[in-house]
Amino acid sequence: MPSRAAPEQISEYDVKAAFLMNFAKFVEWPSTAFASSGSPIAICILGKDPFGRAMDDVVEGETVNGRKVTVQRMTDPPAPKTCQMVFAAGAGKETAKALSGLGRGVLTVGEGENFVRDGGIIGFVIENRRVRFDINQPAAVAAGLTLSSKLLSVARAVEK
Amino acid sequence: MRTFRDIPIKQKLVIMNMAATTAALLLAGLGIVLTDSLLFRRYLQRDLSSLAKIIADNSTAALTFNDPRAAAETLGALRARTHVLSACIYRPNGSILARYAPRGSACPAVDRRDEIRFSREGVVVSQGILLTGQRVGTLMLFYDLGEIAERIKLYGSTVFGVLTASSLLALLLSSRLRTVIENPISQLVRASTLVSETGDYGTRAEKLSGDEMGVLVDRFNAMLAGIQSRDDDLKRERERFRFMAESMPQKIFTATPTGDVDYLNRQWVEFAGPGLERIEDWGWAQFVHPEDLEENLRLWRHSIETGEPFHFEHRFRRADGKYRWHLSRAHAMRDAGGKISMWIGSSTDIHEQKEKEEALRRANDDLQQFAYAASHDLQEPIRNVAVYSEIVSRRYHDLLDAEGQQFLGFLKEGGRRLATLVNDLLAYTRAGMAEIVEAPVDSSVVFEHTLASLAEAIRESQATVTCGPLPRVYVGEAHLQQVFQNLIGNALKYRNEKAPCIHVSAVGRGADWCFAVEDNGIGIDPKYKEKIFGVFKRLHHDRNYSGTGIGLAICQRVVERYGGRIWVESQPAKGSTFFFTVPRHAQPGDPAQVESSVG
Amino acid sequence: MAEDNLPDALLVREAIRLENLPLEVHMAADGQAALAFIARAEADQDAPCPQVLLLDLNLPKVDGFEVLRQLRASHRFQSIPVLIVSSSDSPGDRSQAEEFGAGYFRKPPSYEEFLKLGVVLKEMLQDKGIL
Repeated sequence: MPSRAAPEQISEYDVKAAFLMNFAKFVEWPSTAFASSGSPIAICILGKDPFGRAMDDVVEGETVNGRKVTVQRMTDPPAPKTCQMVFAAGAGKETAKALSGLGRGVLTVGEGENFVRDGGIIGFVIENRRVRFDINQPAAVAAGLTLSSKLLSVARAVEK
Repeated sequence: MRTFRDIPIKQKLVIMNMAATTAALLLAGLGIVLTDSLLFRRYLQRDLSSLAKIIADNSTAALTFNDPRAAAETLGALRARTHVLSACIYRPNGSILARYAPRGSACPAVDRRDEIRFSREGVVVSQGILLTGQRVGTLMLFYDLGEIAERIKLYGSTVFGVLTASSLLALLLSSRLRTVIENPISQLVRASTLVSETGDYGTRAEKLSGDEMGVLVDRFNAMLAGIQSRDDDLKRERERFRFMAESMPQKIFTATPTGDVDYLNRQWVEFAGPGLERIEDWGWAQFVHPEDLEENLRLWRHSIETGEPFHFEHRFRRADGKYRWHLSRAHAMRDAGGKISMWIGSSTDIHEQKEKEEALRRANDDLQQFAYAASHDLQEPIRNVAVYSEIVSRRYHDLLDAEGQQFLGFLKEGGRRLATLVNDLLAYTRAGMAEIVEAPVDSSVVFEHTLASLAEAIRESQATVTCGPLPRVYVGEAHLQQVFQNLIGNALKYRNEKAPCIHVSAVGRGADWCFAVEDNGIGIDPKYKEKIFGVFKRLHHDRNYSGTGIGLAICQRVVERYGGRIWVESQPAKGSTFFFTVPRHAQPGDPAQVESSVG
Repeated sequence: MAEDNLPDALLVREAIRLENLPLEVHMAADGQAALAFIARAEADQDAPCPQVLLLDLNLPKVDGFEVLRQLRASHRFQSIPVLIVSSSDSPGDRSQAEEFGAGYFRKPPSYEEFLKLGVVLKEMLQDKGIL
């Protein structure tokens, strides 16, 4: 149960961890994005890990569309079909560019308003001390991902 | 106050029509409303359930990403549904993420079960919000039921409208009912009223339709035709009776069961003079001879009470004041149930006949008196001849020659026979004179007297004469003795070589006593059964059997005088039984009974 | 004896004679004469007083029953024996005679039968204690 969904008073990254987990529920990956039909949905944390244990706690026991959800930490951009979602903390231009080069089947999530402008698909923003996110729809389409309209409806801004 | 039963049929039909229509419409309306309410509830249930599911589904992201604005937007879609009072999205921890309440209604309390609850205030829908099988929140929807009331109101006004329209239609139709129902009935009512008021069975009701009313009119007319034809028959019969009654020479009358004379034919007018109303009812009584009146009234009343035929001879006063003898008869006519419906009678003028009869009776009486007196007065000289010729024959026998003696013998024999004849003739004439018998006579006593007077003959013939129980009878003692004496005397006389055995008995038979005198004598040949009762009929011209042969004629005369009869049954050489009957009861007021006594 | 018919009177006398009855016969030829005889005897003790009356019914002037009635009404003869000697066979006459306490003898049309009157009279007188 999403009783672990982040309350307001908890830390920013607890919320972001929950959001990451929930994005998996509103996104459809093409089958080519997975190594096999039994492959899990892997949430990869590229570079610095700001979550601590939070991310692992969130995905504990979760399955989406029959696939388990796992967390991987890495320092280099992943090989194709190993990560379905890549989060890179710290909104750097080069980071965004590097992530967009990951190709089809990978949902890229970054931080800062510029992330989506720089080719990222979902970018966390803080508005009125609340965690929200922007979406770059063309980038998602280019990545072969289908974003639920519900997801779009709760986004702060959607690039078309 | 006029009850439903008394109002005209037309109104009844209108009322009944309208009542039926109203009831049908009300029932139909009620049915429709009930069905509709039910269906509408179900529809509402499904509708709200799917609505809640859609909203819930659309709220998943807002809940997941804790976005009250998006949630409020989703709820805002409910604006199109005016009956939504409030809709709220709860987070799993029970706090409200978003609320929609266009009229400021409160959110229904969160309910973790998915359900649709109908209450007085409205429908509460609770719908869990699921995301990938996990409950991420709850949607509570509060829906107002004003819609149902609106629908009922709509149906109600529709039914009322139809009702009003159908009532108007029924009223309009009722004028048509006049031609369909009321007019044929009015025809029947008019025709039957006319018949009962005028008695004219020629009246007919007009047939206005070919339905049951038409059949009713036809039957009614057929019934009238039947009555008319019977009425005509009755009139014809009455005329026929009247014609017959008027053309009869007799005086004809009819009377009611209570004896009031209600019809008299023309012959009465011709006899009694004009003004039949003087004779009608009981007026005829003043035309009856005063001497006959009391008996006449008694007999007429008796007939009326008992229904027995009336039969009486009486004198009626003619217009000229002279009384004439009439024989009146009346018979009761009875209906099928045996009840007397009327009396019909006739009076025949028998005056001439009566006068002739009277003259004849007087002549007969005179003759009888003469015969009696003559035979009585003859006895003395004849006895003198008989006795003295005998004395002469005894005392002066020797003074006469043979021829003289023979002649004297003739004289003696002639005298003796003459005496017997006169004696019997006397008995015969006496037998015709009935005595008034006031008290019954014990016939066994008369039997004993008879034996006493026949004692010598019985002794001579060594006869046995017995009797059974004998009744008391209304016959003059002397007459009864005459009968006994003749019958027993005959039995003693006509005997064979055996000693006579004679038995007298009597049995009741109807209104009569039947006496039997049985003997074991020579019997009577059947061919003489009737003849023997004739005057001077003797079957035996034998010296053994003496007598004038008048005995049985006397018996017959006596018995018939009292209204009985006498006959014989016999087997020759074995014996005879003489039977005679006399009435058990006194015969009242027989005018022919005459007291007679001659010294 | 009250008797208007002489042949009968003679026969009665003969019947009395033949029975040897000690009777003296006085004759009355009609009812009146009979009544006169009785009246004389009633008035005069010395006049002949009959011991028995032989009475014909069919008498001239006054009939036999009237004579009998007056006789029974008289003082001296109210209970003398009376024998009615009549041609009548009428039951009425017989019963009337009985009412007056009189004997009855019907005159038969035969000599021998007639003579039986003597026997009847004798029996009657013996019954009454006169003989």
